[in-house]
Amino acid sequence: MKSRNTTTFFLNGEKTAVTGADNSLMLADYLRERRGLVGTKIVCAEGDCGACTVLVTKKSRDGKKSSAFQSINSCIARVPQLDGLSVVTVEGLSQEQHSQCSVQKAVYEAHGSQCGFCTPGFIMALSELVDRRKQSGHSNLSEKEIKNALTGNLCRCTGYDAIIRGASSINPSQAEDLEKRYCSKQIERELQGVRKTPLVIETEHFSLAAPTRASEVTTWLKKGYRPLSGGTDFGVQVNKFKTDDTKVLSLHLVEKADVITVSSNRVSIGVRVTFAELRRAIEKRFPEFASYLDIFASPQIKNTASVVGNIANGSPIGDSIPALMACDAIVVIQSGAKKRKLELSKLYLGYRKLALKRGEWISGIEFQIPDKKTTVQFLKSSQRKDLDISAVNGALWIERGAGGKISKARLAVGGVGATVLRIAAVEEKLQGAKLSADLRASVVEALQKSITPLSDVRGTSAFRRVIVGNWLNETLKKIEFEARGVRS
Amino acid sequence: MKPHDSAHLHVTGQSEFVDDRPASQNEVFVTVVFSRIAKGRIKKLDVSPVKTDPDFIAFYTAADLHSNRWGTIFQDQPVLAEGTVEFAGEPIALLVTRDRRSGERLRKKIILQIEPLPAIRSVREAIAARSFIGSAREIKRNFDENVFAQAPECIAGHLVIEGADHFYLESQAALAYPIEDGQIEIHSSSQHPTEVQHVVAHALGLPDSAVTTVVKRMGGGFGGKESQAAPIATFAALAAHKLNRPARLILTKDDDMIMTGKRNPFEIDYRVAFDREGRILGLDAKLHSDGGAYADLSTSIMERAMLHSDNAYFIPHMRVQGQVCRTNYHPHTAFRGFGGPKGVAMIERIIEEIAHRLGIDALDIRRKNLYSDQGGRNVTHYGQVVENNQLSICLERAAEASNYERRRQEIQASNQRAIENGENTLRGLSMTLVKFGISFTTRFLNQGNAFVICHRDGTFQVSTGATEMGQGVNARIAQLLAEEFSLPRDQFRMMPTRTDKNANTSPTAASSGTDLNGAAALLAARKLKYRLSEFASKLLELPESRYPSNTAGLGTEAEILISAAPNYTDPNEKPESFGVVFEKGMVYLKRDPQKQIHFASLVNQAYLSRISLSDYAHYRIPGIEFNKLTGQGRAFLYFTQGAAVSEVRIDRLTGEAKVERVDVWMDLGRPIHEGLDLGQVSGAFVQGMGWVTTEKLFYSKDGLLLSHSPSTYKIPNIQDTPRTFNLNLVPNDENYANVRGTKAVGEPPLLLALSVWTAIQDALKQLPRYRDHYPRISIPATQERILRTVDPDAFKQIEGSAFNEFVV
Repeated sequence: MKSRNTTTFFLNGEKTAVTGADNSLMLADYLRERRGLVGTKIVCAEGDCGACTVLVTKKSRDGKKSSAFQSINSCIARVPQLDGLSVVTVEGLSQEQHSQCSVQKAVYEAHGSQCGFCTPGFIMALSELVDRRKQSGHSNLSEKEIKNALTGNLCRCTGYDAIIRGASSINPSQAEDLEKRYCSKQIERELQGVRKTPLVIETEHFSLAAPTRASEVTTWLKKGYRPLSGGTDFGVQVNKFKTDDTKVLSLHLVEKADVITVSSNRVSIGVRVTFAELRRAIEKRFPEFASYLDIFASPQIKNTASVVGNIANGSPIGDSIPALMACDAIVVIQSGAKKRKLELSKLYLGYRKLALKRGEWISGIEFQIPDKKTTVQFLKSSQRKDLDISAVNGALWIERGAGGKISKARLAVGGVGATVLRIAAVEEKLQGAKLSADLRASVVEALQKSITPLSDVRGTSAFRRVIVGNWLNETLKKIEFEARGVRS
Repeated sequence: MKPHDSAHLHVTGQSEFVDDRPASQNEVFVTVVFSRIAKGRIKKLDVSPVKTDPDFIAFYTAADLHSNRWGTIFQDQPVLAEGTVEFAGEPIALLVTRDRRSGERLRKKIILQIEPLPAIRSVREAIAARSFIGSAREIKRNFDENVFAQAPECIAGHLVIEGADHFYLESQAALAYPIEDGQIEIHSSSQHPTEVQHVVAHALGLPDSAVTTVVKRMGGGFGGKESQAAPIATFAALAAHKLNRPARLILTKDDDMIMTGKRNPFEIDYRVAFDREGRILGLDAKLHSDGGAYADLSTSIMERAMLHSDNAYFIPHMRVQGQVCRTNYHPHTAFRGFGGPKGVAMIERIIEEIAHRLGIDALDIRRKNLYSDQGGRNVTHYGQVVENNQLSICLERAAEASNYERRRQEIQASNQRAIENGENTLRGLSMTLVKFGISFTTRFLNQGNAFVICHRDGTFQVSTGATEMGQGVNARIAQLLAEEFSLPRDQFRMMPTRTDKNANTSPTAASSGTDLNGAAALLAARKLKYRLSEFASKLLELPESRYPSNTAGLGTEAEILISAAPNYTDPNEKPESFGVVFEKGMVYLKRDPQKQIHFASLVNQAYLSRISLSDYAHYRIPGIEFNKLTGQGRAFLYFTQGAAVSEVRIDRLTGEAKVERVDVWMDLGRPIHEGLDLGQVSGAFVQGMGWVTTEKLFYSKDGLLLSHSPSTYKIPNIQDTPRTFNLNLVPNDENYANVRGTKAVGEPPLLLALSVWTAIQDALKQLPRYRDHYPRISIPATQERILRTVDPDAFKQIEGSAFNEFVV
């Protein structure tokens, strides 16, 4: 198949082609160093502060009344990841140099900026929210949605109070139409054309391949290319010089990689499905999972990071892993055109070591949705409630059978060993048992015997033990009392 | 009132920070090679693996410096380590490369071997080894052991306060340009351009006059760029000077956090004597701080901690001792509050403990001990009279507006229910106060200068020694001048701070930026105004046909002559006006308001009459007399005061704390710009909240900071802000001491966040296990610490003998 050697995207409405070594740059560096667009700031270079936030078009629209744009961290997005998208930076918001768009004006008037270093990032993250609410026909923003939209942006000066006030004064229905300017039909048409052709970039120090067919992925893997889905962790590793990978296999053009299927009791998602997309798809059917997704990672990360990427990255504290394990997740492993399925809990052989053979990659994942007889509870505990890497996380799936007995139990816990663990000792004790205080005590004891948490920057070993023990005990207590409540 | 003078640029991304300056031709990038262990002997530093790389340009060590010592108070710190390293993060060498990515790439290949030596890694270890910086200090008043022996009640305690990172969003940055004839111009992200200039000149062996520092703005400072910007700038300057090429140095957030000093950790031992009503009789406090490896500003920070150990409370018999310890950590430094928060944390904790011991609400204990104009209870332990005391007003306003009494009852009832029913949520409520002394305690720093230029169209350029880090000092100074001339504020452009315009300046620190530089700017403006007034009084007598604009070119009219402007020293003194009124852009004689002239026209006429339109002024704060040896005197020009009531909710199963509601009442005198002031209050409060809750510095066994990025170091995010956050100002027109009756605001509200910490302890003390003793929790009260305090038995069971109630 014919391929391109140029990354193509629209930057503030201007068609942009990037060739050669500049493709190895992160978008933020490219903007600042190559395009003089220094409004985009870099602070942490790890997607944790939001100063680098820009807007990009979504790969596909989720419903007519949604925004065409989403916010991302440009500091950890390599230039080719923008391929086929339209990018808007803080410089692109106002109509001319000395004017302000409605978001900028609102933050300006409310004293929402002090030192100004985080401000462009806040403006961009807020612009995404405003555009979203504009498209859905709203004329105001609630404090809750403002906070949620700005969870991924750190400010050290204002205490956020003025930013919230400024944002609250915005009327989205009167905001400028970003779509008209930066995602017009003509732009969209051109970009669609771009996305149909594979991208292959080869330079002295950096190579990137982006096939369009899933069956071609294996070919590149065998050439030593490292697969990249959302790439949010990879971007951090590159910025912090923790990886020497210079051959990258980007999955951004792979057909049908964005597909989500929700059936009566199962969800199936493709390799490129982001956390934001998953959340939207399961919001009604699996609200517990949706609200669990709300407290992890920032909007910018969730707009970029893929669920499969989180799984494949295999961190012992990866936040989606215990949740999916408890929901009986099965990963789809592909090599060439061949596919096989594997239980997620069998994917991890050791610290970040996956049960994949040469040429194999994870092309999707499926998991179960609870029915009325099932309770699923999630744990995420971290130093700061929101947007923080967990000290421990976990998920418990309990199906109630006849006679108040538990017919099925799955418990997965992260942050307590080299991989996320299914805790068989606990599951066995729960299976077929009736909940009681005694059972709870013995289950918690079994849990403690099954885990070996470390002490590190996020907490001591004892802290992790106490948290996870308290959570399991409390969760079982809640289920027990609820069940009793139902009976009586 | 118009927002911050850069706000329109901030929101559109047009504000220029150091790293936003375009790359020059030939520019190089400087990467710092630093130690990763706390103490050791440098055995090998081999750059040969990178020397042949095409991106490599140069490599510098201490041997390349003309002088290798710097330090604001004691010159005890090498610019680049020589022979031994004293902290993890200590700069050893500079790698100069083509760009920033090659710098990081090549740094990894440099061979650096350091033989470890035993390091001092805590205050305790330093005390045992008698490893100190500076001598022990003592401030006391009527101290008497008998007070403790005879007191009805006594409590002794220990308080551990950990450090915190500034986490300014813009990391340390410098860009040095070599200029003809051996000069250097440095664009630095610095609160102290003069120190940058002096340290660079000294290190490079240049006269001060060959070095110019320029500070346009900082992306946050908070004290972290007061002293510690200087070595960073020196690194860039060294490369620029040696190579004769522009040199850029932008630390990554990780390197910045590892290399630069933090808020000083403190360990405090206290003994308090009090009567059964809760009146404090005596206090004996011993403060030890962790200064890190070098002195930096730690001795001054200790002094401020000692001067704030009374906070809002009169303590008849008091002794406070302080000693800075030398350890093997990054040299700790200024951070908003500058020691004040530590002294205040101690006394606010003591108040809470007294309340708990006596079963009296802590608010009543506070009321009883407040500084008061009655009964001789208005003199501090260092002998300064608390004038214009607003403490009681702040306390009562905060108590009333927050419904303290009613909520106290509600919370008590809800906690009671929670304990009885085994529910997991406990609530806590607490008020703390602040009385923050405004002035540098080092007298000579209390001076400022300003340069005011008026152009012929009536617009101004104003230069002062103040640096803008977001606090709005420029907008405030412009506002002062705009009011003086009755002109719109945007007619006054605040220029970048440059040492070739304003020399010998003090750091923009101690909340004093507007006080010092605003006063200086006002004094300069008044000289100009005096001349313009005298000139206007004569000009307006003439028919327009005889105005200089119609005559000066031909020389047909005699010039209007005026006298020399007096040298004003008091910014609050109203100058002689010649009966001339400046009003809304117009100027006229009071007795003839009909005949008006535009300010811009007047200025042009003055120019044509050869009258100077530029002025310089110097300002020194009068009346500050603090003797550091006796620890007595008027240390401060005035006090900024306030009170805050915080309510928290803690989860007994997880240790999570959530701030539900905060009510702040501050006395800021007559604010120049209320919007900016409230921004300082909310920003400082939330920053303080981070310090007392989630911000935890975590070091490796080698003394290397591991929490060196926002993924591991957790400053408050938007979800952490109080659910209800009420900010209020107490009107106060009587602060005659300061320029225009205003009060400094930068630091004081940070201390009010201690109410969140005491509220957490207030919630914890509801637990039956704390009926007889107060649940002492260290700062920060992290989730883990809270959980440990809720259920120490669970932790003891797991950790056995390793369990320690203070240290996590």
